[in-house]
Amino acid sequence: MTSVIAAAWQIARKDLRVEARSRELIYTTIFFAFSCVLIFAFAFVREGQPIPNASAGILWITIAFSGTLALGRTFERERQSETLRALLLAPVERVAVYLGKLLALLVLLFAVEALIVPIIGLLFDAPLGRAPLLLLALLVSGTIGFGSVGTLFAAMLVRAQSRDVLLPVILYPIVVPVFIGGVQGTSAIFADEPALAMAQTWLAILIFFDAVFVTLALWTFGPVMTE
Amino acid sequence: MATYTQQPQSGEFVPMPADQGRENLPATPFVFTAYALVWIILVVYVLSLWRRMNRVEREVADLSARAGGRTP
Amino acid sequence: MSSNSRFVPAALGLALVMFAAAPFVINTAPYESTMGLVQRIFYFHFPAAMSLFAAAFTCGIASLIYLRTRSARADQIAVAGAELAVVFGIIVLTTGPLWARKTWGIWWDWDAKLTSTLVMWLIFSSYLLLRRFGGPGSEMLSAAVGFFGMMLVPFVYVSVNFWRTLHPKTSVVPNLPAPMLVPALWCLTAFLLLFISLLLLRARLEASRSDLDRVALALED
Repeated sequence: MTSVIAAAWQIARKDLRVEARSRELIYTTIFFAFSCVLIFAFAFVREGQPIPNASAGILWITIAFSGTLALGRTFERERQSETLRALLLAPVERVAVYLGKLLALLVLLFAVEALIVPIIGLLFDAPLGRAPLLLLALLVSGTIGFGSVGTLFAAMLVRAQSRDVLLPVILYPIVVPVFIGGVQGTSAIFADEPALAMAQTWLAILIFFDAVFVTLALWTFGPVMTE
Repeated sequence: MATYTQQPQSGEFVPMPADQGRENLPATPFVFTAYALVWIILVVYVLSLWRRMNRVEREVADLSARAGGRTP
Repeated sequence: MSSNSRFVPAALGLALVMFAAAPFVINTAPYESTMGLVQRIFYFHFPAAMSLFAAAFTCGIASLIYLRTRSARADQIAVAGAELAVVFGIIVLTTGPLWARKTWGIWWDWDAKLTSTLVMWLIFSSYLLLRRFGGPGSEMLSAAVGFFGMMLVPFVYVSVNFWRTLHPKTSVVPNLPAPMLVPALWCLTAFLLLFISLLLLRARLEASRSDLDRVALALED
């Protein structure tokens, strides 16, 4: 068990080190996320004022789109240098490969969110300070839910045709509950009359989703990635 | 059977109140369309299945004819 | 396979007969008090929804089996299940709004049942797209999608249910009075017979296709 975690950590560190050198993903994803926020802001502004509760939706749409971009790019990198195959051939548990890739992706996405959430708070006057821990928990569990299924599907698609368009096509319907939970929980916090108990219930649903789908992904990764 | 119940009483047009108009939508077109759609969708699907099966059988026949012609 | 080839035409034939008789059977049912004529849509909408679920779970379970055993037969059934889920899904998603438009005045509402059905339909449509455009090796990938899709259904339902609801509660069917229950069960039987026979036919088509591919490949050598 500890060897799996150690191996996963090694794999994640490798990815993060590669990323730290080029910083391609972090810069482009942050920039893309910011553009997303702007485009949606323009779409949802009436007479110079953002529609109430648009901020929660915009936040999670941005996470969805930037996450998909980051996923695609991470595994494209793997494909180009054939490292995924090398990883799978290595005497490492399949599970560790999955966890390592997931961990690296999560670090990237959390970094992007750390910048985007305050920006959204600024642009939409969203009450970030109202229940910061709850908001953080929602973001973490939602991102984990999205990332867990996304990592599995993106890895699966590495050698498939039309992989760029197929990733969102197969990923988005499956992560619908994550986004329902995330948006509803976040807007419960941001609403003029905040419903924190509601937000906590959504958080519970998200955590449950994460538990089930991370387990399913761990279980499925082995058989799916076998040649 | 839902039917139109309002008849103009006088020589002028009396507009129907908005929510009453909704309740007076005749049901028949909806029911008819729904059943028609079910039939059409099922028939189209079965036909498509039929067509695809025929195509595969034709190709199998083609291939076995070619295989019969060549010595393996 | 020979028991198969006798079962399918028999089931299909029976289903067709039942479908033909359905309007008459449905006519014996009384009109529903508040919804009147338009409630008749229920007699096709409800069995189609049940067939959609049957197809989705068939695909999900077959996908699971394929993930564990790589059985070609499981994969063929999974594909058939996904395709039928899309077909029955189209029926449910078109008849439902027609019913809703007359009864509640709106074509769509984001309630639990509608949204879960739509998401399920999307999942199995994405399954088919993956099979069609994913290139070689998509069997395994789509098995993961099919399996995850099936596991997802309760989540979507619970989350949307929690969010809002407008649909009649599921308890409508068990509480149906007898004169309405009979046509409902009649149509349900017809649909399920149709589902099973189409499933087997479609699975057979898939098997023939992979045989064809194999022979074609062998010939090229």
